[in-house]
Amino acid sequence: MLQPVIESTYLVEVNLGTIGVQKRTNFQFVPQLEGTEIYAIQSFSGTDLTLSPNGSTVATTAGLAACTVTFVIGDDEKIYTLPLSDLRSANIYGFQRMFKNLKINLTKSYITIQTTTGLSNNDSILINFIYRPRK
Amino acid sequence: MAYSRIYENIYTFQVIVPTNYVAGSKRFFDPCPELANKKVVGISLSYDKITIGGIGALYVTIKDKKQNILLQNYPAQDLDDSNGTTNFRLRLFNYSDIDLNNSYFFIQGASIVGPATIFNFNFYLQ
Repeated sequence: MLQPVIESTYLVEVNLGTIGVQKRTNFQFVPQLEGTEIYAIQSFSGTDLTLSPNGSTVATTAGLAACTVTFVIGDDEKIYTLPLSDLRSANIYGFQRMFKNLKINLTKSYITIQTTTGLSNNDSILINFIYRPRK
Repeated sequence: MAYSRIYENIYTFQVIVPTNYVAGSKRFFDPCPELANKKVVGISLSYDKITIGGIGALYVTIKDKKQNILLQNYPAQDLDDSNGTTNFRLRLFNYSDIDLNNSYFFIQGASIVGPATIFNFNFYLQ
């Protein structure tokens, strides 16, 4: 597996609010990531990070495994229900999962709770986007 | 899958968190002239007087001299180089103008910030 050379990163926090099966939570608008090429994505669990940048509890490893993410490119759900566990470096020998220069429509992208096992209300999901800035 | 990492020049930058640090507040780094005109190809973290929980709530923002944000709220835990686990990977970069004096960190959670908390950034230079 290849390791990316990191150009820029932005850590996005998605708070799940009140949890429920099949609940979707969309990403907020992040101007820094608009039009950028995202070439690696990683997620974290409560085992990795004790508190989010906003001071919220981070979803446990089991909670992360209970969620999937869908990334929308343009209007298409190009990466559909990808398990968030698959983006966690600790689960993939410390690597950062690489992608081919995605221009993600973040506000249309969302996290789905598949089961509430291991999750609590107001847990946060943290996703680190590694991207190439606009020139 | 550990692998050897031999670099010609590694500069270790020590950060001491003051005893009056307020959890969650930004703390700018001291100037680091040793990084001037140097290309940074890797960054790792090592620590002694900070708890593992403290590292898990430590976030770093690094800017360049043009005030571009290179790393925004990067989890320091991901740079961890001290626990000897086999799944560690040195994070790779290609920065030539890091402005550490305009970069900052913060630690969330008051209970995990102890007096004279210390951690180190190791910059792998080329």
